[in-house]
Amino acid sequence: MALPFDDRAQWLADCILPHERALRDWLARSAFLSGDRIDDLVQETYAVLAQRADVASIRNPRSYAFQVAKSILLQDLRRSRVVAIGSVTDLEMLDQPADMPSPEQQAIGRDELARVATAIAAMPRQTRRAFQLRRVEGLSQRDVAAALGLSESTVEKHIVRGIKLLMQQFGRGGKASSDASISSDEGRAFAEDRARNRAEH
Amino acid sequence: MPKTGRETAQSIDEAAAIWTARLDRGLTESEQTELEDWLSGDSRRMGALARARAIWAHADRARSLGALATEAPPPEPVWRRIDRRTVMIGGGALAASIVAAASIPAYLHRPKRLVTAMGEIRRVPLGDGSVVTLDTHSVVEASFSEQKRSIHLVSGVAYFEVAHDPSRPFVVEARDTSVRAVGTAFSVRNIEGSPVAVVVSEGKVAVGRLAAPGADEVQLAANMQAEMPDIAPLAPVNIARPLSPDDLSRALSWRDGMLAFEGDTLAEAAHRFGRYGGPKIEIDGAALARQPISGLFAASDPRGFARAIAVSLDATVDDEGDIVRLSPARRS
Repeated sequence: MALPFDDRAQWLADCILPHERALRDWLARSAFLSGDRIDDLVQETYAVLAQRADVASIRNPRSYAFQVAKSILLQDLRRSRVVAIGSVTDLEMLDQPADMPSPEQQAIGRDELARVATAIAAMPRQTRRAFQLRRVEGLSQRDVAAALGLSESTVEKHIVRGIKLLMQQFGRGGKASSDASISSDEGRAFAEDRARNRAEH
Repeated sequence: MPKTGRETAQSIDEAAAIWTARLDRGLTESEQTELEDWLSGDSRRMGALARARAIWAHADRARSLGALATEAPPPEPVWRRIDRRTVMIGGGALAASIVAAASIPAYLHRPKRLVTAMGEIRRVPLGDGSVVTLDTHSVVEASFSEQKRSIHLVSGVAYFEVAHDPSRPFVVEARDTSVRAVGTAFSVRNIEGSPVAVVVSEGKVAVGRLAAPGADEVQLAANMQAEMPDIAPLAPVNIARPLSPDDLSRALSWRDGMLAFEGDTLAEAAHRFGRYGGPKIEIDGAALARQPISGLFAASDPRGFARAIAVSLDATVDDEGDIVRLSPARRS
């Protein structure tokens, strides 16, 4: 099974991620999908985009992503026995949103940068430091561990947490939804880590 | 669709974040197999992993935000950091955080002089909740005290989003102009050869002359602009003018790396591209240079701009490497 390789990840970052919010809004507004269903559909859309043989020929990635999401949704609806009347009616009207006018495009650029900034600012100190050393300064995880006096597995945990916080920014709501759930996940992660370390030593 | 027992998107996302971090450090052979097994379990997993890796790749945009940690507030006393999480991982982490605190890179403490290179646009938190966005080739110096937040716009263009703090006015100085804000967002332009210009997008600012602090200030509200001619004494009524929403977004489009023109001459536009580096746009013929142009262009793409202009103004483009030359079309 082919992994989503680096250049594909970069393409998704450049061409799809900036439009994910619009895609989610569109699905919520036009197809009346629940947040859970949208999360599923977004993952399925990325799966298609990640495994497509070639993306260079996609001239308008935004509308392509919308199209993929729409076709997955239609397929699901055809498969499911219960036909959600509201969905189908509205799906007829699920037209491709036109190419964005430039003000919206601008807003996305700002919004996106602000989102990354917010997510990073919201990171707990140590996570932010690990994240910064890895992503901004370009140190390897191993070197980050050495620089911060942490174990490599702890640095990895911080990286995981940083990614999760960014995921939340790009996903629903856009605000770091619940710090409580993050810290409890994190607590669990660290507790597991500790247990593993004990087991190893 | 099976509803019961279906893994939630959220738990898939969590696993995807873990795999992304592992991929970032390199997988062991057994992890490689484990990952393939995981991916084959549910089609959404591949998507979640691709998305997580895209988010990870995207985060290097943080670099353009520059000084995330650089501008972070000074380290808290160590005891304040003994929170629940630290306690959970025990004494080792406490020791580690002390080590880390002791070895905080020197750049955390250096005076706040913020500089952008040609073509660079940077958004930098100032530590008080305010954020400055610097346009290409700009220099800002920030010195904050208990009483005042002083910013010197040495050159270039900067946009300020000011955190509300009535006890510490936020004052931007550019040449002989001062712009005082309480809680607001505005940009100041200080480019040689044109007047200092202030554009307010939120709240209110007071614009005055450094030479006469407090006197003859002009209040600018949201959606207003003022240009401060170098020589004339401040004539409050004359310098302030309202901006339409379009004008406002045009005036601030540089924050997205875009240059917006509305009836500016081609010469002015070429000059503004020049501030972002890249090939220089030269214009043959005064008549062509005076042509008014409108539109939104990527600041990093002077060639694309020149090509677009050539089409609309019936000019020809010669790409000479470092110079992109626009000339009037030769008529036969």
